[in-house]
Amino acid sequence: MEQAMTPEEIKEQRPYLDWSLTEHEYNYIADSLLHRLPNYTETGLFAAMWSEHCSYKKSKPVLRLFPNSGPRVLQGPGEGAGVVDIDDGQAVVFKAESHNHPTTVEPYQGAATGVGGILRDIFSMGARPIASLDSLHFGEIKDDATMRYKAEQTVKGVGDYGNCMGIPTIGGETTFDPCYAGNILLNAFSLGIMDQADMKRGNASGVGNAVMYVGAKTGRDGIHGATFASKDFSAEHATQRSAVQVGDPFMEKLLMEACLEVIRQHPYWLVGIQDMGAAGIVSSSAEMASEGKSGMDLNLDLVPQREPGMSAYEIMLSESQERMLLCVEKGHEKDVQQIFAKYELEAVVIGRITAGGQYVLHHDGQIVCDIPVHTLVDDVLEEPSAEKRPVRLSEATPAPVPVVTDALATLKQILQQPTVASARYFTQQYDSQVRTSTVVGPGSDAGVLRVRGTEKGLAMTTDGNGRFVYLDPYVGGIRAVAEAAANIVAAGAEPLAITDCLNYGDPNDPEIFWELHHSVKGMADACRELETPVVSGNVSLYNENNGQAIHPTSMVGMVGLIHDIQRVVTIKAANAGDRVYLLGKIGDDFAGSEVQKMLDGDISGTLSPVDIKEVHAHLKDLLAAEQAGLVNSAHDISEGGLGACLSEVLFGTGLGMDLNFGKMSTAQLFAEPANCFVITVAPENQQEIEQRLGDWAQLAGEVTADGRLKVALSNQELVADVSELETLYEEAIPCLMKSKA
Amino acid sequence: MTTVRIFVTYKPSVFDPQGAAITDAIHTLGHDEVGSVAVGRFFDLSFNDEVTDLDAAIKDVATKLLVNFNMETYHYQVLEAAE
Amino acid sequence: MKIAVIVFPGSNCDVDLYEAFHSVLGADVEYVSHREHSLAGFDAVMLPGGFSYGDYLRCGAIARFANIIPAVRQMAEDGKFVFGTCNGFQILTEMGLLPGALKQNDSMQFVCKTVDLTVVNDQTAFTSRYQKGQTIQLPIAHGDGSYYADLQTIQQLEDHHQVVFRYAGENPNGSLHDIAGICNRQGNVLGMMPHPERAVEVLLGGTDGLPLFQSLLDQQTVRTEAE
Repeated sequence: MEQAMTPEEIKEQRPYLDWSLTEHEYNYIADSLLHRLPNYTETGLFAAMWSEHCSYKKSKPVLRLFPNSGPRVLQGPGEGAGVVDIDDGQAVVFKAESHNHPTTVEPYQGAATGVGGILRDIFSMGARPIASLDSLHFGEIKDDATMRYKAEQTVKGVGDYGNCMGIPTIGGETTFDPCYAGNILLNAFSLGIMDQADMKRGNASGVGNAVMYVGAKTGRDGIHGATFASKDFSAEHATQRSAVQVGDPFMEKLLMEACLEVIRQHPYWLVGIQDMGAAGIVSSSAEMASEGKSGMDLNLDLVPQREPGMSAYEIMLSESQERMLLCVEKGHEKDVQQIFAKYELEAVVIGRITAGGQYVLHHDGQIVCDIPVHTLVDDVLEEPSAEKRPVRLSEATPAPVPVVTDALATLKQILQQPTVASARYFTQQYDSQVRTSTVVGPGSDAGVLRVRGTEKGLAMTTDGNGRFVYLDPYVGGIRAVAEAAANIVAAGAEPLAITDCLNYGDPNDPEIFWELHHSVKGMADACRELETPVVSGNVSLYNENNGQAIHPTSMVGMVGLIHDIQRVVTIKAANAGDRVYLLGKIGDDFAGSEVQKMLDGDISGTLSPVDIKEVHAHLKDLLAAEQAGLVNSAHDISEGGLGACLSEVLFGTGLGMDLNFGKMSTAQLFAEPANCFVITVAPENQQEIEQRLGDWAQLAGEVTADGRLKVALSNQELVADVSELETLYEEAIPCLMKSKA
Repeated sequence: MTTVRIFVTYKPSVFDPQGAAITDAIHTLGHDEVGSVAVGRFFDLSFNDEVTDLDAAIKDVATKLLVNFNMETYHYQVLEAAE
Repeated sequence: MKIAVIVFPGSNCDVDLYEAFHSVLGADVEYVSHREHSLAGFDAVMLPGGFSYGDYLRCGAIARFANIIPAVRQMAEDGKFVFGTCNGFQILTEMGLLPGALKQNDSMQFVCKTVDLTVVNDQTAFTSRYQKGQTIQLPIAHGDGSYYADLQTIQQLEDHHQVVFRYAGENPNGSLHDIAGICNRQGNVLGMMPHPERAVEVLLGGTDGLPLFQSLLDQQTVRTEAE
């Protein structure tokens, strides 16, 4: 049996290489940290804790570029989730997390457990989750029945878990690109709310205090998930594809209610609490002990187990779902057990906090691990990475101008591209209204909730455009943050902070590391200027299939505060006669655009630079105008350009528009510039809005009652029946998903 | 120990959307010889030696819990009889 | 009128029902745990939406074994008011308080959207503030909402005016006779798949669910001999 391997045999046979621990790391652990050879279990724990997934050893130097603090930040990265002050003694807790590899392997369970994991991160901080968003990136579904099946199952997994938990999924994004064909991205975002006084951390301290295990039993599922996520994803690793976990949202619902009851009603019983996520018991317990500067002594025989005969190594590394670890004040163990019993859940004392900082594990009457806590958590060797500017980016090349002859025909075609078309087929499988606080659900720039019992609202969005980052990592990084901010401001909300999922290929490839570095730099610069610090996030590397990396996809989840929910702004035109303004200048911004991909079959060109200072000033002006009640609708220009934007503003309203864009070329109707919006304004506010927004705003025409979109361009006039466009927009994805080809 | 497998299916007159979808998929594979598919599920119950009237016990469990007779029906087979 | 909202393990629209009565209508409403045995002092009981017991086995099938269920049954027998929405409707059919069953949607997908409904019967304790034939809009959010009963049962429902709401226009789940909600013969037990409690505030998109709760609050409370 493998477990029988002696320390000497481990040194000799190097099984740790399969667990993604390098020989250099192993030798460092043995020679410099332990001053002895680690045994089998210890080696396994090091491999898991020193994986990129748990330690960020490769990405850490880059992540330091992010601003993490600000006047509203109560908790930055390093805990389950970030915490941001929203006034009145309340706080929001949010985070996004990728579950790309499991979703690629087993879309339904991968997606479901992705949602389950992020929700535990939220309620482990003491917050009740009140909304989820999902950023999904698939391969092309046209002519690919397998990808359609995967998309269907991914969406079903997200929906079934969130719906059962009773947490509304109020937005997100769904994009399609060949680069994700072998590696789906699932980035799950969740937001919770709490009174600041209820905040809890993953802390274990106080000698003699109990370490309690709650929730589902431990099985052999998901062992090596953390190292799995830190490896290339090629066909030769197909045998590892059994590593996916199975979710039980009902168990999680009970776990959430029980944990929130303990945290909120008995705060003094509880020292700290943490989700058992990647690398299961070892990561949660070691991180909590490290945070509390404590030692810990655990008896693995006490861990509730679903299967007989599990080794210490398996128990510690299992990624069975729906489990939490609690540090409970000595003497209150029974009290905590009683609360959990009310929810028909087991809570078991598996160990105690000790002095001296050793991490000691007992199993079958033997000590199977005895190492300093800090060696697992704090002594991880950061890994310097080589980087090199990708050859394709060696010189700036302007994007070719796509040949668009017929504006209407192209608009119709654009509206049917899966990335642009209505995602309703997917989003209506999510309960977006449970908890009755959803003011704006899926299909807008941002999802909006009211905060019950206050006048406040919360806006939230997830945005990631891999094409932009691929073509220009730095500007693409800026644009990811700017796009999210645009969505938040469009809803009339003040941007507060962001979380992120950084999805990249193999960082050992110097070109990919360069992409990571420069896109993070772009994001960081934008966050600093927009005063939206990064409060949580995660990094997903090795998103490759048979050596083919995805587009570097920096997903930004941003949260904004609406001070008066009655002033929320939607994307929909409201009244005939309202003035229509284009905010911002549209140039030949075709690099990475949907129209480029649609007509050229590929993306190319360098992005136009973005003046983030100017963006910030504009967003402030727009927000102030919205807060003054001057704006009846606002929608930012993104995939599909101005043409898609105008259509979306009109869909479902029965209204039309009569617009003149003067010198704009036909192709520019589909360009995708940064920081551009379409707003509608009541005629009586025309003067004031022009005064406030100045040159940024260009009056284009007005909203009409006739249901027709009329757009005069430099060399042609587009006239469209909005209801006809809407049918195309709504039917595109259902039609593709139900096709048999 | 006796293991009994209880099969629960829709009554014949009830529309079975999963069955219809799977039939379609089978036809896409080229197996036009498959006329229809009925989807159901089964429950394996392990009875210990205390059971006296197995048939009565199965009937009770099925009728009170496993089957909704508004739309479903059931049958069962003994997989592994007590020695 | 004093109203109970039952909380089963896995209920998740309990808050929504509670808040509709409490913050929107200012009514006297309390949560009651599934572990309780009594509903003494309550005039109406609400079975909320959600996924009681994870919807394992069949939606609503396990909830009917909860401690509180005999008390709910007693309320119905006493002529007090019993209302179930979504999972609550599924529980009412599994309990046998309402006929028929809720099957998986024909699309095999969960569906969350706002649908048009026709008020078919405005003579129940829950619909007196609506007009017969009126079209209203309520959200639905379910994966198993396809109403099924054998033809004879359906005919009886129609004959006794027990169909209270019908989907107007598109039928979102394959329900027979477009049935969205039914009541018992006495009219004091109503089950429906749509969520009236999600349509009680303009801010959230509509108020067509309000009259249902207002109708209930208009009712005379029923006193049993024991009280």
